[in-house]
Amino acid sequence: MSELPACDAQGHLLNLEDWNPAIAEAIAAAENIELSSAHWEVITLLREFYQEFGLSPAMRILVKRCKEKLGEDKGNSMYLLSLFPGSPARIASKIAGLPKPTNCL
Amino acid sequence: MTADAPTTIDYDLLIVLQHAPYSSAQANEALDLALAGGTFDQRVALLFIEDGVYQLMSEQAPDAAQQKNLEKMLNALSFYGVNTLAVESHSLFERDLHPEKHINPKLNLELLNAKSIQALYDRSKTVIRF
Repeated sequence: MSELPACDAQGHLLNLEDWNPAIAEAIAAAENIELSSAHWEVITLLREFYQEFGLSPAMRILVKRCKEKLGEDKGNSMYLLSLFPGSPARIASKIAGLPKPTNCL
Repeated sequence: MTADAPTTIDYDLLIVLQHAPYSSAQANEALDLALAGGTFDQRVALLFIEDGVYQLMSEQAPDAAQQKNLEKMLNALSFYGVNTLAVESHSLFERDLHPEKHINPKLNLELLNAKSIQALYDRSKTVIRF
């Protein structure tokens, strides 16, 4: 596992430009997740969302975006929970090298 | 609001933005609230008045000020289900701002006069000013 760059207390990167796919693998490993192409699909989607709007989406918005971009069968919380158990929006944004979701209550 | 007012309530929350962006955190906080409301399916409307209309300008470049790009946040609103963005036309006029020239073209704005603004207030359950 490669050395992780500076993170906040919850493990989100402090400098977004530190991110690269190897870092993503390392953050995922710390969450006991091995990244598959299905994970990468969501990670890419999150990074594009951030690029466009400057925001990490909270769960409901992430589900909506997945539905729109990846299709009905992937645009639901069960699918996302199966990929990123626990708190999909928070964990996926962390792996994607983005800040904690806004309005993540 | 009086109990016998027959006006229909169309919005759970009307957010009035009256300050210029980046000079304080107010615009950012207002948009955070709008996005939170949208996330939880609240019916949210935004009204830009006075110096708040400067928030609508296109080609904002806040990176130098190390601040979040409010223009991007505004563009996100429709994805969050917030589709009513109203602007007081007189505030634009006073500042010599022209929608087709200075205002973010991605935004679908309603230009309102004083009377329509009063109607918007009447149709909103809660009003919060920033």
